[in-house]
Amino acid sequence: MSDGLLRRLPRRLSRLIPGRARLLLLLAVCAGVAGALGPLGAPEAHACAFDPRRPHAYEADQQRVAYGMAMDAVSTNALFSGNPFFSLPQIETGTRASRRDAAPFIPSVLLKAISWVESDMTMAQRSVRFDSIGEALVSFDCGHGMMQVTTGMTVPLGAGNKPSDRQALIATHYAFNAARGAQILAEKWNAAPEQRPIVGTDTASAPEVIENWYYAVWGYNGFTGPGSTMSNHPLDPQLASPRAAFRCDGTQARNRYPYQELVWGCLANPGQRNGQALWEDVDASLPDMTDPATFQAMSVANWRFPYRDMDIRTPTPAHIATTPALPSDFRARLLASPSLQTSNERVTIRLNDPGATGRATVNIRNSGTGVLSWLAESSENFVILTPPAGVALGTGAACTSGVCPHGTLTIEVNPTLLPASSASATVTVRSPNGGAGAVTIRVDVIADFEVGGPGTSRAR
Amino acid sequence: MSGTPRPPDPSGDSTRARLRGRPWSRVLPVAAVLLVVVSAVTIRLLPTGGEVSPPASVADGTPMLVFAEFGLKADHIYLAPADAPDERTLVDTVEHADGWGINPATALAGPLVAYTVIPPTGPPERNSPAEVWVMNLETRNKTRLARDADLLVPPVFTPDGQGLLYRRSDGTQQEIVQIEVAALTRRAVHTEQTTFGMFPIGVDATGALLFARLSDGGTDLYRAHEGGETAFVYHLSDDIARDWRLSPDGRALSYLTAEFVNERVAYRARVLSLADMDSPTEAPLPATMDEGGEHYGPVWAPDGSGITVGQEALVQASEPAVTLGLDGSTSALAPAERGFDVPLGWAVGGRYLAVRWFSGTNSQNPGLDATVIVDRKGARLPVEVDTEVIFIGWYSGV
Repeated sequence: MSDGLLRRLPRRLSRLIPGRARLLLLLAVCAGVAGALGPLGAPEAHACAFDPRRPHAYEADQQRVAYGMAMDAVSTNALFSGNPFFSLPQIETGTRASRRDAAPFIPSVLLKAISWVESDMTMAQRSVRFDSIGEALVSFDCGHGMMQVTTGMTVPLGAGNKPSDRQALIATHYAFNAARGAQILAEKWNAAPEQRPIVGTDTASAPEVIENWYYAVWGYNGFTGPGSTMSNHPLDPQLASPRAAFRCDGTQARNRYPYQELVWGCLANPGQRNGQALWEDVDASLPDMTDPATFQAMSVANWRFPYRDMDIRTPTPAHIATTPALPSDFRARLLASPSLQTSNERVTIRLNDPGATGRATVNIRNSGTGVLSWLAESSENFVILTPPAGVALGTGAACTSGVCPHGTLTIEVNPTLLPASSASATVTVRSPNGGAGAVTIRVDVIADFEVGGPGTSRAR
Repeated sequence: MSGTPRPPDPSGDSTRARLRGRPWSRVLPVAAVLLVVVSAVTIRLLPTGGEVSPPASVADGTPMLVFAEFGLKADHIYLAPADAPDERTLVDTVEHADGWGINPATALAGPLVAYTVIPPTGPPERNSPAEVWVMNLETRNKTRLARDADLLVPPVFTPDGQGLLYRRSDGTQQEIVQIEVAALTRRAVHTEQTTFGMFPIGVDATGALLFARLSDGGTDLYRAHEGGETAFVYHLSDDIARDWRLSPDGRALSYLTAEFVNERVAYRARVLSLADMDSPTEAPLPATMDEGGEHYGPVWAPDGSGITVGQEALVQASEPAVTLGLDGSTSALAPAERGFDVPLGWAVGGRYLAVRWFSGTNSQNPGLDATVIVDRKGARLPVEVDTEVIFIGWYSGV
């Protein structure tokens, strides 16, 4: 592979460096690139949909009003009903013997607590200001955004091995991220009874009962058993016992708690900003491990797929979630009507001019309202696009920093992949939620060097 | 830059001469590669300070509590006199992945503290490969021993303090590894495939590794001699047993196991005599005040004469921790006004016991918690910090 890459170096440039040194230089460059992509000493990261670059996302208001509204809306399938990719599925209810489909419903407070545990309910990196645009939150295992959506985000799923529209929406737009997180939680719930146990044998496993989501929430992080390194089993000897409830305020190490108890702790102790709780507190009950039936259900003898002997009654006292009230204009506020402003651009990138930046930037504009997600693709592989996906804000989407409302696409060139000393490519920017328009950018690259003395080069 | 060859270096430095003899276009890539390689293989062994005098309280015989104050990004390790926990001294700060604190060994080995931790650059997940560190409280030197540990399984020192046992996992394969702390060598003592888990307990009086193993049949005790077969020792429970501790002489094991009493489940303490490995037997324990109630956190008295357990406060407003002597005696410690205590560890000498105090009644209703030093003479001294206290152990000098 390295020889092939080297052959594609501009001939005059390649003549400057002898063969073995070229190989070493390539190794060094590769090592440098690898170093630049991750902190030294960081564990090996998974491949993710947008690797090696990160998309940009919109970080909405600090009080998480927009995020909370989005979770309220997706929890009852009010936002994406009929959408083949983002609608909430029907939620099964009933006991093992009488399971049936029911209306889509998740207690929205569960989504809020999960997102707090996962990301402090943020879509972007910590350095990104609220009401602004910046690098999306992507974890080492490809968890994206405030729900840390991993499923379906580990490899590009679009045509030509490029990220798909759905992946771009999940990574960049909070409403879609919330919807995908809700879908995943619903999938964990609906995995019962065929593959997972049921909570609520005495309450028809009603999804309105928050306590009945205990196993589904456990599964959101991994339905993992006692003794394993990833264990979320409440009786695991690795976890302290007794343990005080998780307070969700940053004063306790997570080491002592299974995942579902972190979420339960945040249900009871909502995140706060500016003295205000970000959701209504619910002091949900945990399964009573002193109850023989519950204890036996959790025993190691029952820890085997499909876990049919782990069904338990609803922990008491139980708490009923109601359908959240949404403002009449919630759809307009959450999804709005973004519109990608179509344009044709042409940029020239000079690699042979020491005074040139070697890159070009193009603004991506939203002539509509709300948050527009966009994806950029190049016709040629020597073009590097940063970010590969992002957002542009229209009217109605708050923007308080200088990096918005427009998205900024930076175009660079990998000289080792240039087919010749001058080349052209076409970059296309499209939007999965902003109409059929596109931004088309012709990129001309000039990298024609002239050889001076041995070991030197100078721009023409 | 010039690629013109130069004459040999008159200083006689042949390496420099060779480098000068090469075009920069050759040398720079070589140097870059070397730099990358060297950086990649360098293992940090960080001596972070020089000799430090033992704290005054150790000099006058008062043991020192060693604990960490949890922080979201870094834990602070302190030494504090048992009789004045507010007079603490910062020993070290350990940075870690957001939200995941250090997990210390069950006890110190002389001045050595050991712990697992996810480094700040590591993914903040429970299954992230954790580092194993030891720190010397006297010199404040610390050394990273491994980078592949399971965070939630605390490391265990061997009785002589020369070795440290820890667990590592790779998929469903788990290994108990022993590190020789001074030599920085390590070897796998026991390896197996399991969908459950195994936990190093310690090294018994014969020098064998003891470990607990979970399976769908419950919890079993095994022993493994170096280079020898692994042997089943005892079936601890049909369910998940926990909180196992070896006696100071390595001849008995205390643990908690679930019992079904009065239509409820309670974890209760047991002691297994390992004096005869071929036929281990359960040692009888005297009754506690609330027979059938929950026990918590059994720890051995420093002289091995019995275990101290916490008790649930289901009947009374509070229940004290109580020492259950192997000779049938019982001895209660000073209770709190309400709630119950979970023993964490006795200081050498047997006067001070660190406990985690809970304001509630039992494991189902634990209430708030705090760390307290219980003086056998009756005082209860809270360790007051703003966040969680991570108990590391007691230091009594060397």
